[in-house]
Amino acid sequence: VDRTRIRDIAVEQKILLVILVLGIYLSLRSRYFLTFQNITNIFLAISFEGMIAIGMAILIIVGEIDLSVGSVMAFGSVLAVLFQPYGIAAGVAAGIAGGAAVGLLNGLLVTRLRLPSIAVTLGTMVLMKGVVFALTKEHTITGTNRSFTIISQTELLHIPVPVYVFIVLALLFAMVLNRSTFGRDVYAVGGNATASKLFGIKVERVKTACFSLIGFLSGLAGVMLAGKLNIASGNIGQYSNVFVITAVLLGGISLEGGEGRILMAVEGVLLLGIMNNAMVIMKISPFVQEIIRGLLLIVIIIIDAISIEKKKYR
Amino acid sequence: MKKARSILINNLKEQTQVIILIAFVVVFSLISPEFRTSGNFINLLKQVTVIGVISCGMTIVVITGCLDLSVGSVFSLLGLVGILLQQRSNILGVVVPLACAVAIGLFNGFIVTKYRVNSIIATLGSLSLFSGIALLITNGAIIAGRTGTWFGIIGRGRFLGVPNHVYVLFIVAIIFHIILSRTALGRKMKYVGTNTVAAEIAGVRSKRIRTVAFVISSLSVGVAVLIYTSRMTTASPITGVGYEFDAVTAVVIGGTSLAGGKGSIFKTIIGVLLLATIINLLTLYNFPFAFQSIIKGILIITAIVIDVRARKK
Repeated sequence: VDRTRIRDIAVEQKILLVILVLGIYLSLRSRYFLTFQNITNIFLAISFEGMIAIGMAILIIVGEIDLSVGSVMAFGSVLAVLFQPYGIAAGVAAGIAGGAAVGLLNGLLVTRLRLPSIAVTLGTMVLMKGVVFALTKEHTITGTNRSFTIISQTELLHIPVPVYVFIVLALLFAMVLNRSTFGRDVYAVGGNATASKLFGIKVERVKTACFSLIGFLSGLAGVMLAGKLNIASGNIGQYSNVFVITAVLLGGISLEGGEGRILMAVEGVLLLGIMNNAMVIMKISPFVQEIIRGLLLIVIIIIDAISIEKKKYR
Repeated sequence: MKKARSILINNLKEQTQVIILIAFVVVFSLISPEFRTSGNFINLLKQVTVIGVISCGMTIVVITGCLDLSVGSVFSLLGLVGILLQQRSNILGVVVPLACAVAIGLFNGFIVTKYRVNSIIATLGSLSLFSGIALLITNGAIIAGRTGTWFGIIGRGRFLGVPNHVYVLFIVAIIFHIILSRTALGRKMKYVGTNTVAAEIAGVRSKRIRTVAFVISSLSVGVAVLIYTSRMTTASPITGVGYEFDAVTAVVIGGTSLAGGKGSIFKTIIGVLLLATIINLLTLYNFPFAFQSIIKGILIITAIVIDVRARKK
């Protein structure tokens, strides 16, 4: 009896096991890996796209997807740099509001006009990239308000703020999904939109909220990123959509929708973060890293497809 | 008489994009003296051949209900392979990129069809994969081939005053048009794109058809690479960045439905010209490069809106 339980737990927590095994291997290989500084670095590196992954998890659970997150993150960081002369709060608010507005636009296009989200967000991705390049005149722009970096460089207990923001948001939205009516609606709509509508759930409104949320989080990630070095450019976030979608699928959330938890996305992000860190420690060329990331996305999506297929015939 | 008029109106409705294109060209010619020069028109045609050939291949994939986002990085990769080999032998510089193109098409097609995964996300993965390989080959450097050989004939030669690569686009378009409209393969592609399940029940091997579509897409990237390398005799690992969006934009604004099943090469060529005309005018009036991206994004979204509306009727 005990053995089957252990196996169930192992299957359920397979990502955590992989993280553990990888962690042990890396700490044996490199003395640097298990230092406080390195672990903090890993968390800091994943915290920005991690925030977006929280939104992507919710969006995929509700049955949609957003390819524009990288451009929206760049948009948020550019707004943060452009508006900081009016004060830190103005920079932060502009970045977040700008991101949320694009998210809302995506949501309205998808729900009101009933367009496929993957195609619409492909369009907004190209569009927002253009907007960002227009705002920066295709250069890297530097912030003028020197104190703006306090939002990302401040450390509590030697851990920088973005890490806390990421963890707090993850906990918050894990609770929202588990405990609130909104969370229940998200699962219901993702599981069966037609049935949810019959039960009186406002499907369009739930989906629009999810799109706005991921826009909000992408904007926030952009703001925090701008706070790191107080610069912004159109080249920010070029591969963020690949990273975030890979992380969410890696964590075990299926593109089929209706199922998944925030913790899974966090685990996926963490695993990708450790992998990136490992590749740097092992001095693997950034070009090879890109190849590995591409292959990983392909493998993950194949595994997801196989498990969806299996579920159908069970 | 009435009947003739309604047929005419129906035909006109089908050809909205052609009318828009003609209107654009007429209006732009009236407002801009630089636009209406014959030099500018030839320039415009020269600029569209590479993206035109890629878009023709993309049309085939879109008609089967998929999308190939890897074309940009495949373009960069094949360009590097071609120039690296061309440094030794012109023949290898032509043949090997085309052979690699077939292999890449089979790879993409296999992943998408074997496991029935979403083609956009799968090819987003191969975009990253192939761009990594392209960067790795030369460590990010730009490379140059040998100039002054027959290798430049496609890109630099002219026949009757028209650049040879314009003919290449023309020939590719005609071949693809014939495949789509006159062959069993083309008919099957449309069936698969319209309704995969029904097509399979009717005995069409949808997986094989889609794989062929991906091979055709990569192969047309290979042809586009030949045009490019022949003209420039250089290659860089980032040449093709963004080509996937140009191609998707051209296909979609031409009027081919992203939902699959409907579309034509003719429409795509009109889409390519429409996009090129707009970008040409933006360049003539010194609009920053960023506006191209904004316009493309707006065009993609508008075209999707129009397409979805039309299908609902």
